[in-house]
Amino acid sequence: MRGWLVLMAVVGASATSTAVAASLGVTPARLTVFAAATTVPVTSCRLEAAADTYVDQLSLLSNFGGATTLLVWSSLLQNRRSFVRFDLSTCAIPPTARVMTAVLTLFLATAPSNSRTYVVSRVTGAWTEAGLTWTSQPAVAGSPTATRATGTASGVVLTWNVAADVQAFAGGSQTNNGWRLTDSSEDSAAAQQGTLASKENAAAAARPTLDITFYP
Amino acid sequence: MLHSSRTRLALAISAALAASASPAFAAALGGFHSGGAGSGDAAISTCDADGFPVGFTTSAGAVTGVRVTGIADPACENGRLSLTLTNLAGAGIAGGGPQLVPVDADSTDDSLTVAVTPQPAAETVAGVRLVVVGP
Repeated sequence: MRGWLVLMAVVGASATSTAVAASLGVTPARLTVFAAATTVPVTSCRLEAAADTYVDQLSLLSNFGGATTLLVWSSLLQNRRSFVRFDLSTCAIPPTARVMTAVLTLFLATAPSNSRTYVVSRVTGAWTEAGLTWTSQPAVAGSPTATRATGTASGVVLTWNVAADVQAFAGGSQTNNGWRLTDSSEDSAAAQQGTLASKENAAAAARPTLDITFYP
Repeated sequence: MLHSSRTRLALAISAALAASASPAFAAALGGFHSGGAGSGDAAISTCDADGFPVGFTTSAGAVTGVRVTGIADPACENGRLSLTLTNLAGAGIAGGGPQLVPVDADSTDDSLTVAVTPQPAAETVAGVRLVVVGP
């Protein structure tokens, strides 16, 4: 204890490490010191959608898996909702990894006439791109994952923070069934129509993406 | 007597790491430096003048170890390597060692993985301070 007190006193007096070491009698031993600013590199991964489609309340049994657009409409009894899913296995996220960020990005090709709030919700049931219809759409989690105002400008990127869901998917506490995208206030008397690019869109840069960063 | 030597060694490591945390020392290092402590003091020399690249091992987003490479062979062999991880404020948040730099037959730079405790969240690590005492 006394030794530590002496040591701290020496260091506190701004002595060089040389002097400190020398005072402790370690000379002529070598003493090599090194300091560097460094950070732990985060692992990044960008995914393109593995499946996406929309469903139409007016066409209860129709499937639009091959469409180049994803529709989010609020219109009385003519609502439309979109679904998107990513294959996380490509990122090889360890189950114990800590997901730092996960951003879902969609390109709003045509904005609604009034700014709307688009809600992203975690889907809790299985679906397929080629089979999903309004009638067969699965349920979603009770609480939405994220919301985002659309604005009224077309040709813009919209993003949602879905990190908590991706963490749950990676850790295995939730099954990855992707997300549903809806207008927060459906059944509008005056139709509010948003059109987003799907994974089949000709413009590759406009397709849905999921950007993830994590520490293994 | 043996006990006294070990105590001195431990104190020397602690002192070097502590001294390297001081603003003056950090400024002298210019943020990235390796060398003998206290240039101008001929009594103590360095075993490696070109620094040590470091990498990290993580688990569940926490740093569990630091991989130190580029350790001069044979100059640093039989030295005892200790390190401290620091946060943005320069405060120590984890440490590891002392660990013996083993002797080998070749002359290729050595490497060593030093386990650290506690295991800090990866994003909190902003720097590393390292000291080799001896050989």
